[in-house]
Order: sequence, then C-alpha cells, then structure tokens
Amino acid sequence: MREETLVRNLLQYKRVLEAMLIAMVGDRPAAEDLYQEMAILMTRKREGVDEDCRFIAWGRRIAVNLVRDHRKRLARQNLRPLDDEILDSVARVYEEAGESAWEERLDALRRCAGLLPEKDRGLLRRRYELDEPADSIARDLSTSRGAVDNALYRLRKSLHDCVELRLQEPGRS
Amino acid sequence: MKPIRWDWDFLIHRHLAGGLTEDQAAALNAELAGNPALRRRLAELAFEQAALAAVEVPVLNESAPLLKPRKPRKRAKRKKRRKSEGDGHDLN
Repeated sequence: MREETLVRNLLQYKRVLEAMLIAMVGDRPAAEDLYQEMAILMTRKREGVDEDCRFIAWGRRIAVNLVRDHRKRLARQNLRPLDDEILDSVARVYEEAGESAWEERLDALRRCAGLLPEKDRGLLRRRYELDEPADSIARDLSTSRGAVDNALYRLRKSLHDCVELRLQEPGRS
Repeated sequence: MKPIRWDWDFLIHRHLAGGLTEDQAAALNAELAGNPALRRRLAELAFEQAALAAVEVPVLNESAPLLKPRKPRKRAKRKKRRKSEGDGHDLN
C-alpha cells in the first residue's frame, strides 16, 4: 500500500478504528494511545499489504493484537479490557456493519444532540470533548460523582434511543 | 439465591467510562460472548462516544456553556441622591 493511500485510509477510518479500540479497552485516552501505535505499525507494514485491502479488517487484526499485547499496561491504568476471547467478535461488528452505517449513525447523532437542552450539551462537552473527569465536574456543580455519572448515563441512553429512532425513519435505506 | 439481573446498558456505560468492578466485568464479558445484539450495542455506544469526543458533533460547541453561570452580583443599593440645594444650578 502506498503511503498516501495509507494516510487517506487512516483519516477516513479513524473514527471507526478508535471506536473499536474504545469498545475493547473501555477508555478513550488509552484507546487514543493505542490508535497512535496502530498507525505506526500500519506504516511499518504497509508495503506488504495490497493497495485495495479491506482496511477495517486489517485494522481489526492489528487492534485486537495491540489490546492483547498491552493488557498488562492497561491493568496498571486500572482498566479492564474485554476478555481476549471476545475482543475479535466485538471488533468484527465494525467491519460487518459497513462504512455507510457508521456515517448514517453519525449524522443521526448530530441531529439528536442538536435537540438537547443547552445544559445537557454542556455536560456532554465537558465530559467527552474536553475529557474533564466526572469528579471535577461534580465538584464544580456542587454535586456527587454518582449524580454526574447517572446524568451522563441517562443522557447517553436517550441520545442512543433518539439515534435508533432516526435510523428507522421511513425513507432511510 | 437468585442470580443478579444486570442492567446491560448500565454495564456498557460503566465499561466505556473505565469503571467496571471485577464482578461486573465478568458478567459483561460472559454476556457479550453469547449475545451478538449486545456486542452490536457496545460497538454503537463506543462509536457515539468517539464521535462526541472528536468534536464531530459540532452542535455540542454551539453556545454550550463550559462553566456554570456566575451568580449575579448583588449590587449595593444606591441611595437616590437627593437633590441638594444648589444642584442643577450653575455655580459660576
């Protein structure tokens, strides 16, 4: 695979590959680190890969091996990645769903987030975009960590339900 | 003893927040192994989390307050200045 094809693919599939890593390790910063390592490995191995290879499938194999290899390091970060036996079956979901399904999901997510009250968008932004710890948000809002966690859980759940409804709207292929 | 009935959505949420206990992790792993629909749900929720984190949901940025609004300052009540004699008159 040529370098420019690799770079284009890494940009195009970054979101899906990062999500795959987050699903496996359960932590975004750790997933970001692993994504960097994945990109380095792919750069090293690109010459042995076909130009038109199935990029997500290639990424899945590398991602699963990276998580297995880094299990000890992740444990030191108090993370509990999924068991080795199910890493691959979870990662395969991203491959089987197809790229357009994830694009449609992203579009629906944007629409649903736009319907949220400003207060809820602010909370999502602080926790996920700015990666502010739940403890710090709780202190700032003079509430408990549990209350912030519960609020985020309810928000994420209602966002996901809204996304599912949008994706089932008639007229969607 | 009755087995614990887990709320799988909650466990996925905890997993994605890096906060599963050992028991919860064991239960989630066992269920994921035999439940393709749950694997799909985990993948979808992780994707949504990645998108929320990657500023790909721009609507989050629009006027979403980063800090809670500051309490309005209490203004010291100003006493109405009485017009003293001479006010409004040209002293020159």
